[in-house]
Amino acid sequence: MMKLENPKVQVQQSFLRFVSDVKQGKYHGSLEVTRKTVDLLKSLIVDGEFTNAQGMMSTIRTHGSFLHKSLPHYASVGNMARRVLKIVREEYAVGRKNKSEEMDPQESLHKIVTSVDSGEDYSSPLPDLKLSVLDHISEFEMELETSIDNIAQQAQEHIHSNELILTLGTSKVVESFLRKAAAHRKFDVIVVDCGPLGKGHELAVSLAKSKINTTVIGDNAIFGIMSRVNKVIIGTHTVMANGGLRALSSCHTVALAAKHCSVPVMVLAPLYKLTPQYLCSYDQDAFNSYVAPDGVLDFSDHSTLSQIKRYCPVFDYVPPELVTLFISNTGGHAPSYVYRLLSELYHPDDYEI
Amino acid sequence: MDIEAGEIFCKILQEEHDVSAGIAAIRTLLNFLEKDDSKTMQELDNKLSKAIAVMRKTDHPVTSVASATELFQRFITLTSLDTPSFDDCKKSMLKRGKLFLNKLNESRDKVAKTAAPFIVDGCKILTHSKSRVVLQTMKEAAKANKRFTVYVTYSSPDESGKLMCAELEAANIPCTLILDSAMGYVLEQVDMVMVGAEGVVESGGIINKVGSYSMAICAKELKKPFYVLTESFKFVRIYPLNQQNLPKEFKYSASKLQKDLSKEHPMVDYTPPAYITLLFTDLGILTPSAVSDELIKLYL
Amino acid sequence: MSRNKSSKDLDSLTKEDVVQAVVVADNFSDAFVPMTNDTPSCLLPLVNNCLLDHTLEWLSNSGVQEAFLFCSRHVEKVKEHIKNSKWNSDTNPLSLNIIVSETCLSLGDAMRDLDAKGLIRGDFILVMGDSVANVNLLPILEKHRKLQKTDKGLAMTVVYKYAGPSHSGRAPQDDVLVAVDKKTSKILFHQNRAASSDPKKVHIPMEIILERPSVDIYNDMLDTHISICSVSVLPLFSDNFDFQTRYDFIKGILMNEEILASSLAAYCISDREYAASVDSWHMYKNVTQNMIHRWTFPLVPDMLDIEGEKAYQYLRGNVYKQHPVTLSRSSIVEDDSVIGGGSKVGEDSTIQRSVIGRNCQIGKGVKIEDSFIWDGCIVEDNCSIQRSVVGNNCTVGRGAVLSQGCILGQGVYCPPGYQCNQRLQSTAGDEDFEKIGESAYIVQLDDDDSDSEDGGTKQIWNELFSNENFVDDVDGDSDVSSEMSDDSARSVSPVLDDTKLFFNEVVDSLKRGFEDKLHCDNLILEINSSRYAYNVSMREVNLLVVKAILSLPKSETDSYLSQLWQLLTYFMPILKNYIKNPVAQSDCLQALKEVGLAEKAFLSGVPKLLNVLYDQDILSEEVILKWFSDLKAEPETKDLCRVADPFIKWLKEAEEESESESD
Repeated sequence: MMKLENPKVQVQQSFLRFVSDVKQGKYHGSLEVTRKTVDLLKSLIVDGEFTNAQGMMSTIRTHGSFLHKSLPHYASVGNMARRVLKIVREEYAVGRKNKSEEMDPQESLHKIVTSVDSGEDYSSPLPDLKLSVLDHISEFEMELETSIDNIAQQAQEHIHSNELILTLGTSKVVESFLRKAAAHRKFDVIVVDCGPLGKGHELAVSLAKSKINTTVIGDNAIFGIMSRVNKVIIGTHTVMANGGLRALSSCHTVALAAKHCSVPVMVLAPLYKLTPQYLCSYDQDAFNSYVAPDGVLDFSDHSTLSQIKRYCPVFDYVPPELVTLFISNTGGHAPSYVYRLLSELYHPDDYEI
Repeated sequence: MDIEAGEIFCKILQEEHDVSAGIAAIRTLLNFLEKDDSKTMQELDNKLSKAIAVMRKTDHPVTSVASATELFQRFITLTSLDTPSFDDCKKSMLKRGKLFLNKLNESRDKVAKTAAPFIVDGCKILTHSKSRVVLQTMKEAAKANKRFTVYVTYSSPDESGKLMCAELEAANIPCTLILDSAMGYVLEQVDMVMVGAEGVVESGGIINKVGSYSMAICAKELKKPFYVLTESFKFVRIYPLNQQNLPKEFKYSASKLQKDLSKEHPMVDYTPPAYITLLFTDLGILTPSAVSDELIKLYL
Repeated sequence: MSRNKSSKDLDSLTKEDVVQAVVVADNFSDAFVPMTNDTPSCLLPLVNNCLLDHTLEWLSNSGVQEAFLFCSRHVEKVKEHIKNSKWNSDTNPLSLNIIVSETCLSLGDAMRDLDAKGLIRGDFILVMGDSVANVNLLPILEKHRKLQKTDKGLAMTVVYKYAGPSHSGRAPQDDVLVAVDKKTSKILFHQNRAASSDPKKVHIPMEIILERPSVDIYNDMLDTHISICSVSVLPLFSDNFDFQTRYDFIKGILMNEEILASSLAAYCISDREYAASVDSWHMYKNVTQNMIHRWTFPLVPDMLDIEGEKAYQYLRGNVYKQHPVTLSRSSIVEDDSVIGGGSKVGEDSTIQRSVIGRNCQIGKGVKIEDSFIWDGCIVEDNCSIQRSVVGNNCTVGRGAVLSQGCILGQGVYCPPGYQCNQRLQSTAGDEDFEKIGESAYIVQLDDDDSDSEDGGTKQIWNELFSNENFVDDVDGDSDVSSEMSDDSARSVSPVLDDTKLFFNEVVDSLKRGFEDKLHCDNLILEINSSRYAYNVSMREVNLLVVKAILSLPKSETDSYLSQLWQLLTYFMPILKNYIKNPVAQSDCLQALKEVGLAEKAFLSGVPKLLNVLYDQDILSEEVILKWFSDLKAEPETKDLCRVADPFIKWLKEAEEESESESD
């Protein structure tokens, strides 16, 4: 019994450390967090002894939901757990060759009508499951590694010569996208600073170093400058199931201004940012994150202004109708197509983890 | 035999208030199937079609009957494809039919479970006419200790809003009846609109009690989310282009079809998908564009 | 078990990298009586989570790997708590060792004990078990080690946070002035203003400034009670038995720098980081507010993950709600409030700026403002709780009124309808406390034995809550004087500061005069000379002198009025000297009005005061009546009008009588 317990505890500890590391800000950017999550989940499978897919899935699910609950603002962490579960399901289905017809996991009218029991319990033992799952995960890791590059590869299709591009905050994807385009064409970039959290000036500095014509503007100048802009290209934190964005605050302002001036809004979103969640209300749990209000007002001013309320929300919700196109590592998608991508990426039973 | 089908159908609807017309139609057909003594698939099909025609002539909302019966026919076809002999086929039809019905019966609860989290504490909701799914969802939310207020339209001409209001009050949910013409007035203070649907068409739009369209337009103008709660058996394979384009039997009850229709009130209207924020179904939460996907998957 | 694990961790890391912290579980004071009667101070809840958990959460988040928890009082309870918490589990990255020494009575004792036990071999972080912070300790530790290289004698880095002089996050007992060498961050001078004899004067030795190229003198530092200690700190405590508190240590080191061959450094954390220690009710209130305002992010209710606890929901207006809370339809919860899971709030109840614990039952029509209700309390219908603390499992009877710094210890049953503004506890204790009901006794704080601690905190608590706008009592009159300048054509705005100084001067001389029984004539001379020194107009003098006399009595004490009469009789000659003509009389009444507005206790004395002044012929009838009619026109003086009304009526009647007589 002890033998069974021990490895599980060990893994738990690495998960705990991961959570505390993320909270301390030791990881920069969502890709790093995502990669590490996959690593951890992979180590679960490597270390674990599973007799069947069911056990494997339940271990992943408990750890995944632990991560998801501890880091509710990192949607990609939960997404990775969903994705790994989906991989296990797929490999299981492949392993059990007798069910050769590919099962559509989605609950559908067709299924209701044909009245097939969708209750696959994943309990049949499959000796090769672990290996094949690990192979598949490695493939997936490759996909993760190249996702930013793949997006950047499409830059030339979207950015043309002498265009004026507006972007905001700092985003690694946007940076490499613009760099890639700059290698072939000449264009100007305006970076919205997005204070106090956005740090757009950092992106501007790095773009300027690679000889791209860059201007930094404050958030208040977004609307004024929009009429001159040809394209808005932004990154996002999460893509919601309806195609809406959870992105750095000020994104909504930018998107609205772009709508007003009929400027197309392109959102660079690697697939791991797609999450099967919806926005029910702006007060929804864990949708937004309110950090310490030091960016808004200094603590030392606290006494004189004790009657003033201070908020510092991190995110904006951008409704899907303001987004023109998502550019993911697999190509461009309309916001209304996101649900379809989601059903390919994750199994509906795993939406709630 | 066909007349009997009509009677059973009406009886179910009269005796069980909680059953929607679509479910009643399917139950009638299953009942019909049990008693049926046809020898060939062709014969059965013909008989079913006749029974369906009878049901569609009764004075009940015909949209969901149309969608549900169509689904049933599809069910029969698909089942018959699986089995070679007619006798086997009938057996499996009856067996699967039960499963089929069970799934449909569960669907309302499923919708309520998916939609209830969207009702947040302290919100105000506008709804139109009477819908069992909406009612169930609100009850679910109230059970989760959420405090919210509902505005219900009278919903002329049958004033079904009154019934809805009574039911909500019985469930201890505060609600206010408003005039149909006051929906614009009330909308500015509500947080969301939640309506049911009699049918969901291929474009992702809905067919619902007349007035839903006006409500959707108002909601769009005031930028309030317009949520549709509906069971998936209400998905129907038509693609209306405008209000005129809706089938007449959907718009008018059977007894009125013979009269001068220009003088009659339509019972339902068509709300195009552009006005709908999300659809909550037992298949999950769908965007309007996902509806056609579902239908294609089934009927292709 | 946890020892095993830590040793395993040690293997994987080089020894120097293990970050050790000493957490002192007790605050060695009775600031939180009666709450701390049977609970250690570190287990008091702050925003529904005990202080120790906040501290440990922060330590583990900020990279501390090993912590020694030093317990002295109520050891069993601390042990029990740790045993049931996540800190005990093997999977926790922070390994925790409990050290018990029940004989310790001060921080100094604790340090000496630690030295004797010899558990600590390297630099360590010393924090109190009541700290709430989000500051990352590693950079501070790094800085400390860097400084050590140049200054071998560096004993301690004291961690400060910027906060302006009148910042509400600064407890008066922590009001410090620090001089720091800009280049080496070495602390050269440290003065605790509350502890020094004359809080307004600072004496900095000349050589401190002369010897160095640049010295920073800070008045805006908040002591976070966090220190990074070199290993030499423990022997220093052992060698100097008079070091009892951290303050003693700092003072001792600075005074005997040469002899002890040790020095101190200061580190100021950035504005993005937060740190504070909850060692008084004042800090309790402030840290709670700061946490609700999210300065302590990520240590905020909705981000905490405690095992077996549901997460909090963060709603608009800084309202935090834990699942499952039952709020009735007409109840209102708003503005910086927190409600713990399992609590119920009845119809028509309002909760503002308050923290409600878990499983509390709040009845109907209850009003709770600026208060802290701990777990498991029952508040019956129509109670009003303002600016109070209600301990665990208390019951507040129907219609009771708790106000102005009332503190109910654990398990108190406050009888229905009782009006309370004192500290209550549930047992009689050793002393004969007054009994007001079944398990409710009034706690008498004997002022002799711990006056600075308890009397002080109680006063602070009251002051803080009753005059929210009067943040600093030294500047307390600034509001009044600015009000004065708008309110009439006194045209004094440019000399505002002088008037203020003059007023303080007058208050000082009057206070001294009364205590030393000086003759009033001498006092008048003194006042006049300061009048010339500060160039204050005669009218101003009239107003301020009266105001000074009226504001001398201590406002918190019950004997306010009796003190006032004593003072008034004593200073009558002064009044007579200044208030001679109708203009001066109206100035006198103006002062009366201003004091009446600022000081509630004064109101009840107004009729008698008017009567006395009238009898003494200081005030004339016409002036009083005119003043009163002006008063009625102003809405904010409603209370004053109400209390003065009987006297005015009497005055009018007397006038009519005399008129009829003369007829």
